[in-house]
Amino acid sequence: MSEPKPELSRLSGVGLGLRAQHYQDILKSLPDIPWFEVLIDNYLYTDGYPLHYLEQVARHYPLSFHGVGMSLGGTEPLDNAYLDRLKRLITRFQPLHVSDHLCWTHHGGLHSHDLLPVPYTRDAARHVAERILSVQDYLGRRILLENVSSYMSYKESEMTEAEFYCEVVELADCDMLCDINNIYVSAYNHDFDAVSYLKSLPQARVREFHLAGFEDQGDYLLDTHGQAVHEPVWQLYQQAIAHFGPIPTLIEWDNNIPEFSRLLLERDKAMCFWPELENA
Amino acid sequence: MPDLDALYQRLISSICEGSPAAESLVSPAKLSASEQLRIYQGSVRGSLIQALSDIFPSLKRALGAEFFDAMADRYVRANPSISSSLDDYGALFPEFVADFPALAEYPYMSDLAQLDWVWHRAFHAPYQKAFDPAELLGLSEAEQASVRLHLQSALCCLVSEYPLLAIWQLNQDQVEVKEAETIDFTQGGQALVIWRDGLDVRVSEVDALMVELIDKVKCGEKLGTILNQLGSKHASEALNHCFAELVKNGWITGFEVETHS
Repeated sequence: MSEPKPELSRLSGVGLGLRAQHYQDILKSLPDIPWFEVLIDNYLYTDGYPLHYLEQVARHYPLSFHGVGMSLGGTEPLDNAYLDRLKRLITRFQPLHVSDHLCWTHHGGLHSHDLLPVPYTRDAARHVAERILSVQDYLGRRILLENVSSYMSYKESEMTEAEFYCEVVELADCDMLCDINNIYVSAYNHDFDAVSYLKSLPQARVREFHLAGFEDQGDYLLDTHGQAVHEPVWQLYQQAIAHFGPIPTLIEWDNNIPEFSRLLLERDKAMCFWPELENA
Repeated sequence: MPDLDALYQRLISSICEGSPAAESLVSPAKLSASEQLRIYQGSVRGSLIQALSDIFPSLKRALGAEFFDAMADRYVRANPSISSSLDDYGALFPEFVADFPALAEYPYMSDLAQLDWVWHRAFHAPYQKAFDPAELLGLSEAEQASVRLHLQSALCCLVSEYPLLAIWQLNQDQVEVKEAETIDFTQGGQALVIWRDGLDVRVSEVDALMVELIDKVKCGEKLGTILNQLGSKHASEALNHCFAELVKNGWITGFEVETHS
């Protein structure tokens, strides 16, 4: 695969998550989307149609790789087989961003396939940072770390989520993928101020935003990526753009996936919050 | 990180097994500790049920979403995921279906589940080029007899006592089932081969001789032995036809010649 075109050497604008339901739409009409984000775990263990379509999409669009399997907060050894597969796909597709989450996913042979929060302690921050440094060494590139939605607080936490997130990225010298919806969901669930959280993040490290929809379960909000972005999340996004500037933003929609045209409407809505010059 | 290790062990067990064992680790706030834990327990169960729905679409259509989800929930509670890839989840589901008491009168459902499973594995299997028969023809007769053929890793034979292909076809998403449409169970069983044709997964009906041939090749029998064993029981035309099908469909990906040192 050839290197990305020079003008596409960094992400910009509002990209969309690449989903199998939309392969045909995308390849048929080649919509004016600046980049697609790939849920890379869906391509690590296959050699069939998914990779075939990814090859085709990559011919036309810059990509970012977004993973859920590094278990950066875990205590078991990093999965070298996983990282090796990831590295091979990075070499093949040359994504502009590679990201994963501030969480752990498995332990003792049991896999949750969920993004489980890490206790917010100084020891844990050092531990996660060391693992990120190892991953970055192995992949030969800096990664972006995403904040997760959470529904649980550990008794042993000794700092806020935002403090923990900032400490980890400083120690690991990695970048931040700031999920605006996740901040909103966690702020609601844990009664903290979403705007203060957002504004406490180090400007120089925030490289990407995510937007998605949640479900209101009454007592709590559940991050499902199953519907349109909610109004309060748009408002938080507006503040994020005002504070950090036009950071590349992704619209995620992973469940109840709608027609591709519906995603384009969400993309258009996100662009409305961008400064005029960037929007043009 | 021994403390973190112990915390994770208690938490993952509690989440995957649906037990309250980790409640003492959680700080109660707007939601109680058990409510916070239950959100993760439900979310993990939901992901695995969704994975089963994705991997067993024909079975889900045959049973209906409500029945399938209830059965999948029982499976998920008894079988936590032990792989980092959700695509690996459900290997034991066909056996679970076979033993599911409410399906005792529908014994073909486990065969349908097995077909969904091998189709799914074939879909993600490594792409393998078919071999060039000329390479085999270039060998001496003695060498040909000592050849062990390699079949594509995606290829799998399923032998069912039921008209499995018809059942499976009727339960594809794109098929509109007419009310009066039924499966003719009197037509007996079927043997199927599931295989990769380029990127496409194919399901083809085959005869008993083909099943036997594939079985012997997969067991690593030498070509000479296979020809002797099957040639003594079957007409040479039928055997030649089977070999021609193996080559034509690209099921053979290579071979090795046994060398005597």
